[in-house]
Amino acid sequence: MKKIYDFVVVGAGPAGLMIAKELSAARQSVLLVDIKKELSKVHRSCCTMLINEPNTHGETVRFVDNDLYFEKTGITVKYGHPYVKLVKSSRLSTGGNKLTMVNRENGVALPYTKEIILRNLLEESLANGVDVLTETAGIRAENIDGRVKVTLRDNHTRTLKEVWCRACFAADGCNSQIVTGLELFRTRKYFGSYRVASYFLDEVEYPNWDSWITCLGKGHTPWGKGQIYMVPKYLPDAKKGDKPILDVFCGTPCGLPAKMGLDWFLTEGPFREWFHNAKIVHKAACVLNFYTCIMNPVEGNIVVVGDAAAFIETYCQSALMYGYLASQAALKVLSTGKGYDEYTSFWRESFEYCHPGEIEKALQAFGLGRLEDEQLNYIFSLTNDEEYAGYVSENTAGYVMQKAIMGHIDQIRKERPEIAAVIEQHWKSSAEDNVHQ
Amino acid sequence: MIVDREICVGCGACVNLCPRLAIRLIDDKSFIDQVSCIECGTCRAGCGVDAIFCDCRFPEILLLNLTSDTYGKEARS
Ligand SMILES: Cc1cc2nc3c(=O)[nH]c(=O)nc-3n(C[C@H](O)[C@H](O)[C@H](O)COP(=O)(O)OP(=O)(O)OC[C@H]3O[C@@H](n4cnc5c(N)ncnc54)[C@H](O)[C@@H]3O)c2cc1C
Repeated sequence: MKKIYDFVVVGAGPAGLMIAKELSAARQSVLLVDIKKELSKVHRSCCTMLINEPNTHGETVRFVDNDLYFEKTGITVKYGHPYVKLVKSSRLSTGGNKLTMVNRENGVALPYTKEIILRNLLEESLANGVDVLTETAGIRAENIDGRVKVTLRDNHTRTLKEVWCRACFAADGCNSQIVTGLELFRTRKYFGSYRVASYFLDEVEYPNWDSWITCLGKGHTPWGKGQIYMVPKYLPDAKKGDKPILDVFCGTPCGLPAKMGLDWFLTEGPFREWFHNAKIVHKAACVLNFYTCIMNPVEGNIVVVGDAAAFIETYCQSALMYGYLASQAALKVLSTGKGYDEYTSFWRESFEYCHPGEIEKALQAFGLGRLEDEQLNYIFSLTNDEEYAGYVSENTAGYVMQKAIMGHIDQIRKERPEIAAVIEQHWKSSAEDNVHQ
Repeated sequence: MIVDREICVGCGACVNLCPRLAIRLIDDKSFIDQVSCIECGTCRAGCGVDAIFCDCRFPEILLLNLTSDTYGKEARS
């Protein structure tokens, strides 16, 4: 490790690795730092679905020749591994009824393997001469006289090191340590915490290999709170012809133990028979402290990228994209003295959760959470045999579900007026909220 | 706070949560410096897999404080 670099990147997730790869390809000296020992191993929960709905965070990403192709940015990220094409996205009630969105042509989402993306980017970065410090935490970044001083700490020895650079990238994820030390952190509002535990399960007797499943209803967890999701995907060592495993995860508002919810769902939940013989092949977890997005993600020569500037929802694909754009902006600044404005305004426009009211809308969860399990079972019994065009995407799924249920509202009014009243009341008031904003 | 390394999955969440920077990853599992930890419980409340528990060092320390009379003189004067 040298004492001075052109760039220091804190965090080797998709955002940080993309930046390191791009800057080193432009012949800049780069130091990449991460707390992990094995950079391409993923211990943090992440479904890693390619959200293939066009214009997700301002970009359309698809697989071309088994690599990730970004249509507008024009970049390709190496993949070369099996991925799953999910054609259905279902909300599943405790009684086993569903509301299903379908896209047979493109898939509703395409789960891939994050390790492979990380491994490929790391290989390219190392080949370009990036210095990598593993098992080292980024503690602080400070703007001093037009340069940045980054304080690092060795995981084993606890010794602090200082390194100087022209610009530092905070790409250390949603609970970013670097961001908490910046002035811009004061502009953020805290709005809740969420814990997640996930298992990758093999030998599941499962009827939904073609679906993304969101369990709706109180009876899926012991407390009537929290969510269970299921997504098939391939392990990093999967070969052609192998079967995918099932990633099952439980998310809970902080205060409730996510792992206990997950264990309960697998052994005592309404679908426990799917998991009688299941074997856990990998475990992951995470905690998410939700803060509002950073609107101006550049402070002096410190650039905040990916989840560090938001919460989980940048997605791997857009962490790659924002990483690429941030690196290009930094190169432009080197040659012209300016360049971050464009990056900042693109971030603010393209990342939906920077827009006023979007976080509130997502938190409303479409109002179905107010219904009892038996009522949800009833509603989904009406939609069980139907298919609605849609994607796995928080931005549009809510509207599709609303339309689907409203398509049956006359029948619901007649048969179960109390349910119709709850639904209509909720959707009326959320429509009014939107008008007020 | 103590980490059960058998349960810890090494997601690293508690590392950045700790207000005392007392947590590090050693071989991709969390490790808490007992000297720096103030038993605030932030890490435990955030752990997705409940790998962190309280070893309750404080009852003993509290007891020590109650029985000792370190600042007694100043307090009485
Ligand atoms: C439950 C769940 C489901 C998800 N599902 C999807 C999905 O289906 N599709 C999708 O695309 N995305 C999904 N995501 C989101 C996705 O994981 C993130 O948006 C993406 O990983 C962000 O990339 P990043 O590079 O910004 O941060 P991260 O991937 O979080 O990387 C941050 C890196 O920084 C390191 N680090 C942390 N602190 C420090 C420090 N102090 N010093 C040094 N290094 C540090 C970490 O070890 C890590 O390697 C999901 C997330 C969760 C939690």
